[in-house]
Amino acid sequence: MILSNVGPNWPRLSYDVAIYGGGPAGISLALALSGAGLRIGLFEAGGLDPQTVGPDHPYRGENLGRPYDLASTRLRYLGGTSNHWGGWCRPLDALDFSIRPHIPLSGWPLGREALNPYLEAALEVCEVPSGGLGLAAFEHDFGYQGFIHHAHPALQVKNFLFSPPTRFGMRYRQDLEDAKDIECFLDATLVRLTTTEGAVDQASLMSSDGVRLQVSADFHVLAMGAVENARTLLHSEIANSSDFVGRCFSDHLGRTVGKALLRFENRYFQHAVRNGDRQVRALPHLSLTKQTLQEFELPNLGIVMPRISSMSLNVYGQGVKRQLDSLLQSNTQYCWVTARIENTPNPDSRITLTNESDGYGVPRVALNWRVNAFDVESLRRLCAVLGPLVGQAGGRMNIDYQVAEGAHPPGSHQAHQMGTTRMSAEADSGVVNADLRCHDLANLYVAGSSVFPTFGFANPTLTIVALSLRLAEHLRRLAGVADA
Amino acid sequence: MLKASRRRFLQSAGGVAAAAAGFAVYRFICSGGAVVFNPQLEALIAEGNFSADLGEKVLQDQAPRSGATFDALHAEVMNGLSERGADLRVEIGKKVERDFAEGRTCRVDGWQLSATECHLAALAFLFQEGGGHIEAPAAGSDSPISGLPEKPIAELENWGPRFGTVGEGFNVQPSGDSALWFLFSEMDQQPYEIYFGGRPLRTSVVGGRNLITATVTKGQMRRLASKPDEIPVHLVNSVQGSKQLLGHFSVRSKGVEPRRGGLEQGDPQGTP
Repeated sequence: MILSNVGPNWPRLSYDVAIYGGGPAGISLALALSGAGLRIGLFEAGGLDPQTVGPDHPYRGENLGRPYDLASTRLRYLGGTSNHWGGWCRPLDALDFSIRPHIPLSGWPLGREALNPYLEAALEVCEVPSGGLGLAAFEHDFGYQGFIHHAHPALQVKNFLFSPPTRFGMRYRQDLEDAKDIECFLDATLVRLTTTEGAVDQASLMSSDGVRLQVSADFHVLAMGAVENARTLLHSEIANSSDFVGRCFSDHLGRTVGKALLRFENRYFQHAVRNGDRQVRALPHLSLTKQTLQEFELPNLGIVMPRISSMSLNVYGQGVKRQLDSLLQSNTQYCWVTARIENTPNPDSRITLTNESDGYGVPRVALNWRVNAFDVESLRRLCAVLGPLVGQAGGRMNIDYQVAEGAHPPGSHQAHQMGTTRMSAEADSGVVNADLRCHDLANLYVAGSSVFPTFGFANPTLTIVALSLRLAEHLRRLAGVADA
Repeated sequence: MLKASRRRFLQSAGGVAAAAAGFAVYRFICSGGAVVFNPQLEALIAEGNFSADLGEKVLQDQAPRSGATFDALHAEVMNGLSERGADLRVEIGKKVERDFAEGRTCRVDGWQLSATECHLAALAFLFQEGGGHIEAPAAGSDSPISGLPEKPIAELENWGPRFGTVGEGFNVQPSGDSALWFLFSEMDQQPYEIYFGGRPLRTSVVGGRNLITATVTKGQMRRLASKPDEIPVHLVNSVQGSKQLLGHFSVRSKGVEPRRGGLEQGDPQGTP
């Protein structure tokens, strides 16, 4: 059931599992836990509709580093940030889970294969058509005849597929209403967690009109996004013996790095493809093979190349096109080159708390988003590597990525907050373990992309949902209802 | 500098593809008469497969270092390619791939190209210019016809356009190039060329051999018509080694109204 407010006279509430945050991570987890005989509390800080982002909005904070819009990149109502999600889906690659010597702090404590069954299930939760191929669709060659990734062994394609996109609040609201074992509270902001003997014993919540609510549970799960998860832990002064809470904040830095001329057949942009008689939308990214990435010590990456009018070529570009058309006996197409490159973990890129509090008495955050010099250098090296590879494959590139001395690397964030409660095998190098349980506490879990130790170049939502489904199975097992 | 004693241009009826495309074909010939330019390459260039605009930029950016000449560029392009029998375009394509694989690349206005592509573009520019030296020749000075004697060659009835505006094309063709036309009362079958500012234009004889058209490329316009000027236009008989002044093309500042005349002025922007 959904309860639109906490009311003035709610007793102390007790659940088997208390989930804080009604976005894709929290809703997926709650529904996956449902039906097993557990009592589940789901607490959403917002309501059913978007809030105006005024000056007092709890998401406002300070920017200490690279500019970042903390308030409008996140949505505080049921469904969370899925409410402005573009629907882009791709799982992280196996490479993203591995330890790579050239990327400090790389390596997840679980491999991609451990996540595969949950990723398959996440495709259904996110309503992603895959043409009947499931996860294989992300690496499938959907008849990409004449694409340049076929023309050089160092190149490969990596597909994105698309959710409608699923607005989790709207899509699964009825399921939440119907679930007898879920109590979903709106306007219930988590203020603080308190612990006793190595476990959370109480969560303090508050409504917008000041009504307070105390929640106890066997298992508490933070699912409020990478900023709020860290903010709560910092404010509660828990789970931070490693000093990694709030650190390694990251987002995907998207950047148009140049232009290209490619055979007309190349369509590295979103378009309809088929598997047999089933049509899906795919966005093939040009990428480099694992071996090539490792050889050149590059992070993971993908490149999209949407078409632009050849009329915008200058006289020299027209000359390049004329020559290439002649050599290939083909009509080449002028394209933008937009690189989506994996940003690497940076402990100095972090969220801290300010002295100013919001209306709930929770300190506002200060974000110091930093991009590693390695990432900028990687983009430069990618530009150097790509031109000759694409040249051999029959394309031509005009790539130039410059960063002015002392300036922030150009590019825009993608509202993919990640990394602030990173997963690690050892307690001294992260906040949660492979089961997403805080190293320091017996019953506190974290869901969402804040647990990502590295970030790949793919949008995080599909992996977020998969991790929640995996967490649900883990909690059911702990609760002794695994077979339910 | 063009070595006129070493080379001469002959207009040729050869080159089926080029003829079909309506281009005159120029063939480089040594003073001794031996063809030194690969005919397939010559045809590819004459058909406009390579960009003179790009080649001009290549030479501007790289000539001071390379010191390349027409012969050297030609040798670079042909190095490793079969002289006869093979489809040269396909062979060039493979050589371009090898260039990229082996790191022989150049950068032109940000574009990463193979060295062979750059050489081809430079050849196209030099071919267009008709010179044998890498430096873009300046109008007037060092003209290959400066030493030719003035002699009447053919009786000119009319020609046009006779003026243009700084920075703009005139009688612009679909290719973006500009075109001149010349109507003569009578012409024999000598190989004629139109020279514009002392530089040869791509010249075609059409209309029963008394109408000549000549193309002023965008690159030539940039160089020769970058400021108000009166540009001499010559008819040249390169076999007899003579030239005839046909008139002056007037380049005017923007906003200056042309002086319009009667038939003797021709249609300043039109076609015959």
